[in-house]
Amino acid sequence: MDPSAKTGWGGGVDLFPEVHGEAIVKQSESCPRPARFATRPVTAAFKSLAALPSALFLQGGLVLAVAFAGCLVSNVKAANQPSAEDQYYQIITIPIPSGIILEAGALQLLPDGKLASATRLGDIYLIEGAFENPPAHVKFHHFASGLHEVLGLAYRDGWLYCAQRGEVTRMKDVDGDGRADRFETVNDDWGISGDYHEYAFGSHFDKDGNIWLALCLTGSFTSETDYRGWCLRITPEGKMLPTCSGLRSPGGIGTNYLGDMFFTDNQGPWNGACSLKHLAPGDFEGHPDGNKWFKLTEALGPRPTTPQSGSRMFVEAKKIPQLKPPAVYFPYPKMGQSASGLASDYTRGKFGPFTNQLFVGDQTHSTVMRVYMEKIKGRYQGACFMFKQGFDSGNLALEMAPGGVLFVQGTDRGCGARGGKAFALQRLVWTGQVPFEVHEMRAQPDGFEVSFTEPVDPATAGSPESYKMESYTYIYQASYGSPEVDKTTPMVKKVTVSRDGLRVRLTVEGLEEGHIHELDMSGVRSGKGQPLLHKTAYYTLNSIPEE
Amino acid sequence: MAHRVVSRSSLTFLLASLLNSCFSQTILPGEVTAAAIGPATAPLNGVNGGELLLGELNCIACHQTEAAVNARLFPRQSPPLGEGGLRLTPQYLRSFLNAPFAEKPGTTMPDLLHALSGPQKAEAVEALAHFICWLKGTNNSNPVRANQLQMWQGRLLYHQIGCVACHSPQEAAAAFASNPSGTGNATPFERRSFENASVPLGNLAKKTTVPELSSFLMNPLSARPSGRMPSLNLKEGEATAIAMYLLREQSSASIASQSANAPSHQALPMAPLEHESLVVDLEKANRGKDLFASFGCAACHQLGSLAMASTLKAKAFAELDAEATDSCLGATPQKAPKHAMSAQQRAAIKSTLAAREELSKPLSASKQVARIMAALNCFACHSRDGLGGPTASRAEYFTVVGTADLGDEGRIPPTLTGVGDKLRPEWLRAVLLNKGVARPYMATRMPQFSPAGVGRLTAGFIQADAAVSERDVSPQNDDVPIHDVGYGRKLVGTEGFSCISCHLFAQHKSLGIPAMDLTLMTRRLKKDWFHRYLLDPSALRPGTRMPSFFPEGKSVRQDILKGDPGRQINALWAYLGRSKEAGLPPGLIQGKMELVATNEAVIYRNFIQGAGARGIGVGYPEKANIAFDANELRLALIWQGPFIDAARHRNGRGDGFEGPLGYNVVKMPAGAPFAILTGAASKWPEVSGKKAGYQMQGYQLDGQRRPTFLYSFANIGVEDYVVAVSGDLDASLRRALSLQSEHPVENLWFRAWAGTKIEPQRDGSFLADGRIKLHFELAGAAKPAVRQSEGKSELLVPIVFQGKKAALVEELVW
Repeated sequence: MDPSAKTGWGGGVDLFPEVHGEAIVKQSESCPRPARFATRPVTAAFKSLAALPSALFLQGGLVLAVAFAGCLVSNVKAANQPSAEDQYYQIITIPIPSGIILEAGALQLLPDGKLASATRLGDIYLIEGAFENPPAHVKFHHFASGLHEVLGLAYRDGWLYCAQRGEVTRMKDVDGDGRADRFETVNDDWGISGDYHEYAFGSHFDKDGNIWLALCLTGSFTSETDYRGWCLRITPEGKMLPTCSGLRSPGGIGTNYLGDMFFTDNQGPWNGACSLKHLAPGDFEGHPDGNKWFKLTEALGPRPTTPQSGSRMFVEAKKIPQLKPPAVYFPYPKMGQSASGLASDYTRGKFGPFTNQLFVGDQTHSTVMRVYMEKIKGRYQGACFMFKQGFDSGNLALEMAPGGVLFVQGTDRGCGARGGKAFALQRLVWTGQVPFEVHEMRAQPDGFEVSFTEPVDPATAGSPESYKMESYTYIYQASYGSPEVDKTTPMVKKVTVSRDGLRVRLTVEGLEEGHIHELDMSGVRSGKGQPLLHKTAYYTLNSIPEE
Repeated sequence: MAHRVVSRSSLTFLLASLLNSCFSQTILPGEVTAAAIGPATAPLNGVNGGELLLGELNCIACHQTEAAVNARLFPRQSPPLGEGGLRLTPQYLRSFLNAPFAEKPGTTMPDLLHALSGPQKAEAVEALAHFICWLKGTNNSNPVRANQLQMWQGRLLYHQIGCVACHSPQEAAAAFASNPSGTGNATPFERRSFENASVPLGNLAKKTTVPELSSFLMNPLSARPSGRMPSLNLKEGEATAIAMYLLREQSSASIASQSANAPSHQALPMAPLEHESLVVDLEKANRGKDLFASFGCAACHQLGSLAMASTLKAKAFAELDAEATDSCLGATPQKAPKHAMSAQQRAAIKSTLAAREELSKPLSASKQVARIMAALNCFACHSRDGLGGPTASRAEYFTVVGTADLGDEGRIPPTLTGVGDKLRPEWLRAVLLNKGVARPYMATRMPQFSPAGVGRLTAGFIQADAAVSERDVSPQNDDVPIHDVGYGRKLVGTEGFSCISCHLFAQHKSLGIPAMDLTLMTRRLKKDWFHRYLLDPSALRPGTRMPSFFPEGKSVRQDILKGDPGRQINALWAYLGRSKEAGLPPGLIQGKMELVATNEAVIYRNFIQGAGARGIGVGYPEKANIAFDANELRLALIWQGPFIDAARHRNGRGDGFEGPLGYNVVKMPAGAPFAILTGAASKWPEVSGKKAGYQMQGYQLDGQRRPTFLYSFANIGVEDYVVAVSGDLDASLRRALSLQSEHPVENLWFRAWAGTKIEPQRDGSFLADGRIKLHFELAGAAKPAVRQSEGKSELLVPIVFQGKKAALVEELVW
């Protein structure tokens, strides 16, 4: 299969016969193409109100008077230290012209090689030269403004689609001046009451041409207006299809390499920790308050019964057929505290050895995590690993480009982030060196099979002493979050190393269905004597495979 | 260890075992099933139940013992009677003395008169009632009238500020929760099971009056000196509201609902139920006085300046025989006082008595702390070392103030595990005794105790947690170079760790959630704890949402103080301790962010006050502005001057609605803008927006970025194009409406105004409500019509189709 077909916009296929302008892309790492949008760069210089007491008048349209110089920190030098991870994956910071507040937002790579970047302030920029290394000639074209907190972008047939809080909109530059002037409401069949928590995250197009929306609840706890806490699909014809219920506070939505849709949900009521959840039509994703909107639709059949607060997810899932436990938990706060955007590596090796795996951002920790999933008994489950730390702001939007470049756009407004900057746009690239990492982790009837990116040292990797395992789960409850509960310590009894040294088979006594299995592999060394770059795996064992 | 969310499984277990061991059985044959005695009976690991009961029942009031035992038992004093005490109604006194367990199930007061026969008992009750009424006088303060609104406030206060941590809630949590459990599958409200696990209130409506109860609530420590009932720092109005709510049976008035806008209902005066007016008979009172001494009442109840000793003969504590045939420990004593205890409680006391020599030895600091926390029921709210914390069903009543999105940290009182290591002793004392508050977002209030009640607690915490406290050897503020204070400021601000993203600072709002004010930190915390906490927050407060800025011990800010964690934390501490003189952190004060249209229109889609959650504001360079409501598909607001301040939505999480920044704001008619009216008398339809078939379709910008709004209804497409026209003083608006339909539409009207007064002007325009002039350019002979309908003046403009199109222009001058 062609993995590029799963990326939404068509991968390497040039879908844009019309040409309105010349692209000025130099030294791209990937696919320079004629520009579809003839755009013009932002020429206005920015000055802050710290220097001028009244409103400033910027050339070229939107004028913003800002009294907060600290918000515009693109000139602050990079705060982050070099780490062991840098040898394998490097963060390249794209300079943002002063005056532009690029709080993520959403990203969409365009067929002409530009990167569309949407912001929480409702601007959309088309960025030229985003692949350049070093990024010395990056140009930001101000394509649209005044939109309502854009958290989703998609592209089709000359139209740029965006998810605003209250509607999916498509836009186009009709008069050719480089700025969108035609804005059409594609669909607005859901409610919005005016609570800041009512975010709407939108996916790229799926293989059938749908945009999937993940709608946050009204507040942390409740759904006060139509379809809050639901996933909806918007068809190519602009029809809305109710798709899943039970969402709480999504931080991102996107597909895996097979085109199956996932979103991240965040720790809070009915969510013991942040997690990655699969979205298939009819799924109930765990937070019951939005289920009241089953009264608006029969598309998903009967309303799921309400789970028992204080129970466990895997216990309730046995009672409620529609309830789908998270495919992967991100233990809180070991892995992160605010799971966000996701992107799959469909580049077949251009982004390193983790082909077909998912990369998931964390806003609070300014990190990117890595997820390997498999299907057991027809449902996704799998493991997460730390992947890359030290981004500049709170990572929110992730976008994988075909050349193996992961774009990460961040914001820390209203939710502090380790990175420390108010916003950032960065690129994560593979240096070509393969880190010694766990490659995949698969559940077995009596343990796990763990594969590695390079051959292991049979002595250390073959010794049960090199592994420590702990299992736990969360209370599935109406109040906020959960500690780790029901802890056990499954024992790694036996380890078999494969002949090629790339896999180990762990025989584990005391696997716990429905638990996260935290595997510490501190003792494992590579054939070259190196420890693992990230030594801990967290496998969400919703189901134990049968023999 | 204690979790932020105390492990519910263990609490459920605790509650269940508590119910099993204490409450599920009938206490005494022939009596109502009683609650066991106080929450102090909860079987807590590490707290000796028998010892706790000996203290809570104040057994040593009669059974004299040495000072060491007294100190260890920390006995609960009974309420004084007479001056300083509560004034009780005679009817309540009678029934309580007659059958204490029936009148107040769960009371710790023993039945002293049970051995008397019918007439004798009646006489004793009568005499004691007269005596006690004589002590305080029955002459009551002025009765108050019921007030629905106050009762409503009292109901909220009672269920939200912490009363129900000890006392039984009277309604399901879902009725109050601003958020705690959100979803409606909370366990069904079972008042009985709550009551059985609560400190009983008894029949208050019979017992007292609103003024009496209110003054008790204001200062409970004077009427209950040993502090089992702490003060919740109530203001007078709050105390009256709670009293009125608790005594609501005294009124026929129903509790107002929040939405009720009826004027507060003045009902009849509230008077105690089963009213009895008693004129003190001094002879009876004198006999009562003798009985008060001889039955032993005087052993427990102080009578103010009237000193009286109990003459009830009781064995010294050391000589007590737990197995004696007639003892107050027996289920059916003959003459000895009778207690409403469960068999388990009796057994617990017996086993403690069997080893009573232990009671002469002081408890270890940590056991002493647990013991006092159990007696004062601190465990109802706080966990410590894995013990206590709100039970699952009670936890639902803990809420945040307003809508602060702080998770459980915002609503559940903090764990006290290691609190002696964490807090400075002076702050501990301030919290317990002097209204020290660090969590204003928490609806539950930290109660205030008497120095006698908690004096030992502060010392106990410090001593019990000393093992870790001793590590507090880090240098004091003075060792930090003054230069580093500036780095501390930078670290706190948005160029550093951005602590102010979540934390308040010197009472300035944070940029996000209202987490604890940073300027309190050095007053509250020990420096060593602060240091360790910053390095790994979740190790010291499991489950906290506070992120670590030092993952794996390395600072995420390598550009400040060379990334040295020790220096950075010292600088933070030094700055926070001097924040008053060291200035506010960068990024804290957010100014106005005015959006200004210069040579093009500016669009602002957001939550706009007056134009809804899908407001689309348009600022024109001519300094006229509009806001279009994309849910209702109508022009909602017009105004002149400055456009809008975006600061609300561009700071923090951007919550709330923002209104126009300019002046002369005119609200345009609400409801559907177009309607088909079949006759002159047809009402303008009430439905609007999607319900009326309206659909937003977007907008098209012209060369100056001015939008033409596109929407539809009833298969009619509308183009709605507004431009601003400069004026002598202020700009006006010119609005072109174009409609398209495949089929001509008859009787279609545009409602240009709906208000109180519409006056036609000589120039053909209309003056609406005396403040805005509307003028229309219509095709052919069509003319606007003014009519009165549903109490409003309406200005209706006919829409006349010519073929598939209709058009009109509206000028708005104001």
